[in-house]
Amino acid sequence: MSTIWTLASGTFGEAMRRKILNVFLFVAIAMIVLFFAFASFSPTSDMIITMATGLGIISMAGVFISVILGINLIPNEIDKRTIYTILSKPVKRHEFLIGKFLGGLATVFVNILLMGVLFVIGVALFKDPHHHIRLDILEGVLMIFFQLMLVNALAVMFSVFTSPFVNFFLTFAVYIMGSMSSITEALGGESANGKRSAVIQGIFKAIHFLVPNFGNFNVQNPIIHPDVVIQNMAKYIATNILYAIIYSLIMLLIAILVFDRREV
Amino acid sequence: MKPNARLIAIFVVILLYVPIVLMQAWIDPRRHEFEPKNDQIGTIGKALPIEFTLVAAAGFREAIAGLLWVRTDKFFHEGNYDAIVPMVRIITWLDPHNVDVYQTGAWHLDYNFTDNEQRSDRRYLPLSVALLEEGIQANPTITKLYADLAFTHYFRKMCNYERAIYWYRKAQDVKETDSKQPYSTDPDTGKRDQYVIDPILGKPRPLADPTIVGHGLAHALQANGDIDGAIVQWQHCIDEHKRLIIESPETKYQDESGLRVAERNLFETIERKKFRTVDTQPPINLDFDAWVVRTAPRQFRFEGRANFIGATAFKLEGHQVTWGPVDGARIAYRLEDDGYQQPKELPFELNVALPKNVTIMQDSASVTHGKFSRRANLDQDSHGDNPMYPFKAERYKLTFWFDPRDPASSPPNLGDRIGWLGEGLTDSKYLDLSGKVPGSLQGPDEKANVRLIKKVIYLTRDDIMGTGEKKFE
Amino acid sequence: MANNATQQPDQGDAGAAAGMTGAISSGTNDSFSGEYAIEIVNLVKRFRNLITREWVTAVNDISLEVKQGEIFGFLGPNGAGKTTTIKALLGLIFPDAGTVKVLGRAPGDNDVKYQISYLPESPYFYEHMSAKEVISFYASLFGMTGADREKRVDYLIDLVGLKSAGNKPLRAFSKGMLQRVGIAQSLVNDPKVLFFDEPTSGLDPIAHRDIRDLILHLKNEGRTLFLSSHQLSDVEEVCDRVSILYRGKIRKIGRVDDLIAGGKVEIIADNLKLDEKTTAAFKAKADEVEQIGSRVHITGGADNASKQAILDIIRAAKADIVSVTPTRRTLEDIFIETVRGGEEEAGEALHLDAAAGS
Repeated sequence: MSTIWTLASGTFGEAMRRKILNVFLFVAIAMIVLFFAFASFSPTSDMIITMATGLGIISMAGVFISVILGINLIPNEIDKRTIYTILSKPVKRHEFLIGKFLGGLATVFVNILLMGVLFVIGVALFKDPHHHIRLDILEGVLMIFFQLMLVNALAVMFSVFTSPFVNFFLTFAVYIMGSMSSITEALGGESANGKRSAVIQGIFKAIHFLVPNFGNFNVQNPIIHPDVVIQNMAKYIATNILYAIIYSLIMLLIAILVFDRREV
Repeated sequence: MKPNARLIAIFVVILLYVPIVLMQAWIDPRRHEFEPKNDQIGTIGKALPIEFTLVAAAGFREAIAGLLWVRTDKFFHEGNYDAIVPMVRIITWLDPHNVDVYQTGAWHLDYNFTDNEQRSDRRYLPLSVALLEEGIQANPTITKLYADLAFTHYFRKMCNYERAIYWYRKAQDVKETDSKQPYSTDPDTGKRDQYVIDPILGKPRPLADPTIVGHGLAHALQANGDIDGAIVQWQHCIDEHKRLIIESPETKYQDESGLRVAERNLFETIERKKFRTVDTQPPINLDFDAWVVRTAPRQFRFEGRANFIGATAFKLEGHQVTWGPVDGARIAYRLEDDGYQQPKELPFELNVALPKNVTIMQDSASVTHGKFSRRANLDQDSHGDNPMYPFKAERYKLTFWFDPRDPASSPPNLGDRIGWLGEGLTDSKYLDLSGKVPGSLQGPDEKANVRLIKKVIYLTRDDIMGTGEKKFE
Repeated sequence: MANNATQQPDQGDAGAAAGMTGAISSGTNDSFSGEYAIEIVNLVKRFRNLITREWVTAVNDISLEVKQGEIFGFLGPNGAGKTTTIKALLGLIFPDAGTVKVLGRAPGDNDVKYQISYLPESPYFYEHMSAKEVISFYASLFGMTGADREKRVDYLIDLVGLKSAGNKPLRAFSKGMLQRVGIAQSLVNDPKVLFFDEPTSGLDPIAHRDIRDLILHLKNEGRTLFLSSHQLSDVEEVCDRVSILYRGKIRKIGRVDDLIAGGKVEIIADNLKLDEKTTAAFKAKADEVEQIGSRVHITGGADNASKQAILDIIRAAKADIVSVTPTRRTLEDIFIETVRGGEEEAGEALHLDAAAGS
C-alpha cells in the first residue's frame, strides 16, 4: 500500500508540473468570458447558460486532462526509462499501475476541484444577485470527477497496449460513444415504426450496456434548475459513483492482466 | 502473476460486468428524469444539426437549450412566430426542466401571436395547454406551472373554470415533501419519503404559493359558482399567509399584502353571498341583440345592445341603492368557419398540426350606456402565406355572447345584480342554458352551469368579401 | 567485508569515492548462499521490428554465470544485446527460450528485488523532485520511512558528492550529476547484486573518473556487479571477468588477465642489418618488422617457438638483442578482433542498429 502511495504521489507531483496547467489557464479564460458574455440575456437565461456552460467547460477540460494524462501515464515512464528503476525495485507491476492511475486521478481531482471552486466563486461574485455560494455546483463537479475517473481508467487500460497516438483517438471515441447513452439506449430499443432489425437492436443494446456510459454522469440539470426536484437524486448519484468505481476496477484489472505480461 | 491468479482476475472482470449491466438498467429510466425521453431522441437528432446533437450529448444539453431559448426570444421580437413553436419543442426536449421555457412559451402561445389589432391567434391555445401539461409532467413540483395552466383555463381565453379548479387543486396538493427539502428520515424504516408534518397545520405543508395558487383557486371556485368553496379557500389562504409570515420572514411583505387581499376578499365574498341570494331577483331582461356591419371586404363593425342600465339600481341588504351606470360588461364575439370544432388538445410535436386555412377570430367589446360597437379590420391579416384569417370556407358562424361568470366580462358590481352564474339576468330571445361556452376547450360532455346570453349569425364568404356597407343580423 | 561505518564520507567529488568504503554496506542480506549470483542458460530473445515487421534476434542463445562478489564486464557495441540481457535478468522482459536466475531465483521475484539494483543508461528521474526527494522516493519503494529513510538519503547524497546540490530540482542537473543520482538510487537498498548499464557513457572526464572510483569501491565491498559498457578501459581496470557480446552472441568470455594474455612479444635489436635474407627470414617467422632509427623493432607471437625463431634469426645475423618485451593486449584489441570476427561470420559490414531493444 505504501508503495502505491509513493508512486501515486510521485506521479501527482510530476503531472501537476506538466503542461496541464495550460488547460487550466484556458478554462479560467473561458470562465471569465462566460461570466460577462451573457449579461445581456434575461437573468434566468443568463444563469442557466452560465451554469450549463460552466459545468460543461469543467467537464470538457477535465476530459482533456484525463485523456492526455491517462494515455501518457505508462508510456512516459517507459520512454523516459523511469519504469526500469521502479520495476527493478520491490514494486509489483500491479502496484505500479495502480499507483500511476491514482496519481493521475489525484491530478485530475485537484484540477477540476480548482476549476469548480473558481466557478463557484465566479458565480457568487458576478452572477448570483444575492452572491450566494452555490455549493451544489461542487456536487456536479463531484459527478464530473467520477466520470473522469472512468475516462482515466479507460485511457490507462488502452495505454498498456496501444501507443499514445492511437490511444488518444480510441479513448475519445469510446468517450463520445459512451456519452450518447440516450442514443444508444434508444437505438437498442424498439423503433417507432418497428423497422429496426433485431441484430441492430442487439448491437446497440450491447454497446449501451457494455461500453462505459459516460452519459450517466451528466447530472448538471438539477444544479442548473435548482427548483426542479429529481426523485431519489442521492440514490442516483450513489449508484453512478458505484458504477464508476466498479467500471474503473474492470478497466484496471484488464490493464493489470495485460501489463503483467507486457515487456517494458 | 501466477496463472491461477490470472484466471481468477479474468473471471472477476467478467463477473463485475454483471453489476455494471444491472446498474445501467436501473440508471436508464432514472436518467430520463433530466434527459429527453427515448422516443424524443430520434426527433431531436432530426431537428438539430449533428454538431449540436454531439455537443448536447457531451454534457452541454442545457447550455444548447439555453442558447436556443435566447434565440427564440429574438424570433419573438422579430415577429417570426412560426419559428417559435419548433424551437420551444426542441428546447423542452433537450432540457425538460427549464421551467421558464414552458411558462414563457405557453404565454406566447396564449397571448402573443396576434393579428395587427392585437387579437390573439386562438389556434395555438390547445398547444399551450399541451405544453404546460407536459411541463407539469416533467416538473411535478413546480406549482407555478399548474397555476399558469389553470390561469389559461380561467382567464378570458377559455372560461373553463372546472379545468382551472382542477389544476389549482393539483397545485395545492403538491407538498413540500415532494420537493427536495427538507427530508425527514423515519427512524424505524430509514425511509426518507415520510411527510414532514407541520406542527401548526397538523399535516404536510403545501408547496404552492398562497397568492398565486391559493387566491387563483378561490377566484376560480367563485367563478364556477362554488361560493362556499371559495369562502373556505379564502380562509385557507389567510391561514397560509399567517403561517408564512411567521415562518418565512424574507417573504413577509409579500404575504402581508396577500393576507390583506385575502381578508378583504373573504369579507366581500361572505357579504356578497348574503345579498346576491336576494338582490338578484327578479332577473333583469337584458333585451340583448347583436349584429355585424361589413364596412369593406373583411372589415367589420361588431355592434349590439344589452340593457345593463337596468342593473344600475337595485336593493342591497334591503335598501335601494344606486351605483350609477353599470359599464364594463363585455360582449364576446367569435367568427369562425362554420362547423369547425376546436380540438381540445393538440399534441405538441415538432411539426405542429395546426389547423391551417381555418379562420378564427375572437374579441370582445365593452358595453357603454347599453350599447357596444367595435371595429375589426381582418383584411390586414388575410393575405400572404399562411395568414391568420384566410377566409377559405364558404360559410361562417358568428357568435356573440355574454358569460356572467367571466371576471373579464362581468365586473363584481355587475355581478351583484346578475348573480354568480347569471341568476339575475334573462333575455327573451337569447338566453342560453346549454352550458357550452364558445371557444372554451371543453370536452364533449363538459357543460358549464351558467346562464349565457348567446346569439349566432351565419355569414357566407360573399358576405365577408363583398364591398359596400351591409348589416347582418 | 569492510565495515567502517564510522568513517564519514567527505564532501566533494574526489572525496566521495574514498569516503564510501564501508559506509553503504550497513547490512547486506546474506540469505543466498549459492555460488552464482547470476545464471544465464541458453537465453534467447527476439523482437519484432514495428516498421518492417521482421523478427530480430537480440540475444541469441547465450549462457554465462557470474559468481557472488564478482565484477563482470558485459561488453559489446551498441545493439549487441546487452540491455536486453539485463532487462531479462530484471524481469522487465521475458525470455523466448532459456532461463535466467538472479540469486538463485526467477527474475522479477520481489524478494530478489530487495537485494538487487539497476542503473539504466542515461536514467531519467522525476524532474520536479530534488536529488534528495528522488532518493527518498526510491527509498520509500523499499518501505523505508521516517528518520531511517532520511539518514539513508543523506548518506547516499553525500556518498555520490551531491550534498551541496541535494535540494535543487533535477531540472537543473548536468548529465554527470544525474548519473550520481542514479548511482545513489541504486545503492538505496544496500544491494548484493548491481546491474549498471553504461554507467560512464556521455560523462565528462571528471565525472567519469569519479564514477569509475565508485565502482572500484563497490568492488572492494564484495558486491556482485554486472557492468555493461563499451568503455573498455574502465572494464579492464575493474572487472574480474568480461564477456564480449556481438550481434546477440557471446564471442569471448574469460578472465581479463587471460584475455589480455596470449599476446605478442616485441623484440628490439641493434646493429641489425635488414638484408634480403634476414628480411625473408623475418617474413616467415615475425608479424611485423620496423626500422626505427638504428634499431629494429620486431613483433611476433608470444609463444616460445615463435619467440625463439625470431631470436635465432637475430643471433644468426650477429646483431645485439636490446630487449624482449611481451606486449599485453588491450581489451580494445580483443574487442575489435572479436567484432571483426563477428562481422566476417555475419558476412556483412558492422551494423549497429540491427538488434532492437538495447
